[in-house]
Amino acid sequence: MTRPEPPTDLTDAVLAAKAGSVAAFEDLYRALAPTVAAYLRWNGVGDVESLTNEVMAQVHRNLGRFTGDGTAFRSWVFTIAHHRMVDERRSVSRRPVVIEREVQETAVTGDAELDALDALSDQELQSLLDVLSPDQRAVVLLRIVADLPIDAVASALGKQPGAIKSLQHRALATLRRHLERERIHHD
Amino acid sequence: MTERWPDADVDPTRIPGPSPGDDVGGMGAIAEFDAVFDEAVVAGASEDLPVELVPVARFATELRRRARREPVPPMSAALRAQLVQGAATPTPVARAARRSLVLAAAAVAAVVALLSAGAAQNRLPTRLQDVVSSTAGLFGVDVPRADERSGGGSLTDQDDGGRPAAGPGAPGAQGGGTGPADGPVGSEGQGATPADPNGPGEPATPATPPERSGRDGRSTTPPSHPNGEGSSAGGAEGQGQGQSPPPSNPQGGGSSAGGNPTPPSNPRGAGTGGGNQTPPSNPAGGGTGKGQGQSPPPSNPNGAGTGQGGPSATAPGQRR
Repeated sequence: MTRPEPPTDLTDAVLAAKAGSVAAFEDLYRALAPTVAAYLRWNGVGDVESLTNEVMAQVHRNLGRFTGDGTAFRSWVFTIAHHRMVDERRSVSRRPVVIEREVQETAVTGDAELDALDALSDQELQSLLDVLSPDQRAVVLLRIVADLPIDAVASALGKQPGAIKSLQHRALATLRRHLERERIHHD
Repeated sequence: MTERWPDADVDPTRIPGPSPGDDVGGMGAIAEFDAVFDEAVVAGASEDLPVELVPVARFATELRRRARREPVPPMSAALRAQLVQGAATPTPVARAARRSLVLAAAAVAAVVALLSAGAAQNRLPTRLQDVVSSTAGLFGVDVPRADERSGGGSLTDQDDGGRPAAGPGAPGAQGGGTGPADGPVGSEGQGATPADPNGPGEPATPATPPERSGRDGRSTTPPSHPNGEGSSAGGAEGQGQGQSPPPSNPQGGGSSAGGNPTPPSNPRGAGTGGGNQTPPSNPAGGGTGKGQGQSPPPSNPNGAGTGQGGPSATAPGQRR
């Protein structure tokens, strides 16, 4: 089941939800909860659904204090999600749980490398992400999964944009080395 | 003479500077190049990327694609109930109530702090000090009462200081004692009556120090009335029956049967005394008292005391 396309601009829904519209908040939930769940899942959170609901509940509670447009709202939601994820990790204090997921069927594209990536199970993707440090993984996921710009990632993680760029560069270099090693191994 | 390297133009102690053919801005260009590539990799645009970065860009694309296929997690009942209750924005009433509660708590804390500071220094009004003292006593905190003020702090002290003696000592009326001239007063004691140096009569009773709050005729502080005609506290009659230590009264003709263990300092004491532990300072005190026991050497050179004790336990006296 694929989720409906999220609204391109969340600003109107945010304003309506702040005014007390339940329907508007449900729109925001549908737009952001799947991405939040994916961010939590790739970070190794165990009970993704529960934590996603907790994140959105906190968003709803603090919505009255939020000011900004849809983009800022998106960044704010992932800031909350990241903090809740860190809290969850501290409380569990164990290694990230690898979630077993079925390999999803994908169409063959003709590109051997892309087809190989498509054939990767979620577990294999997760193992690739696990070679990154927690900070590097958070940066990569916030950039790729949450589609946040550098500044928003810096704000969410409480770091300087330059540090985020550096983390991102090292993360991508690490991924490149691992993918190259795997390709050689397969060859 | 300094030794030079064969190649005089090269100083080995210095890092060589850029040569004309060096690409000085290369590192910065590489960094910018990396940043551009990084953004392209994150965006999944693998067209213009170097070959070694293409797998990473495809990895990013795949990761994004799978995240978008993530199903919408079901909304929990708790979140749904929260939405229905409409707790999105705290109501102004609740905010104001919370703020007023905080202000009230702060005000109470400030009042308690002020009361505590004042009570600890015994500077509160008498009634308030007593209330605070008794309240603090419930919690085991020792806060002085208002009547424990020293140095004329309270009316009680002043009242106690200089009440005229109930029996102004007629010089030598009942002298003959050798006790101190100015003794403190015991509650039931038979005063250590000072000797009247010139008096033939019964022993003069030393002046009593001001008694605190009229309790049992016992004082822990010396009277502050320099010329007070001391009053007896607790002494009914100044009937000395004890033996007093050798007086220092050079002319003392009086006797004292007082129980004052402390030397009085009444130079002309016509005072009362008995059982008091503190030396009075009534120089001209006339008082009454009863005492039993031994009195220390009096220092009343001209002491003339009376043997008439004050009937009251309290000794309100003159105000300064």
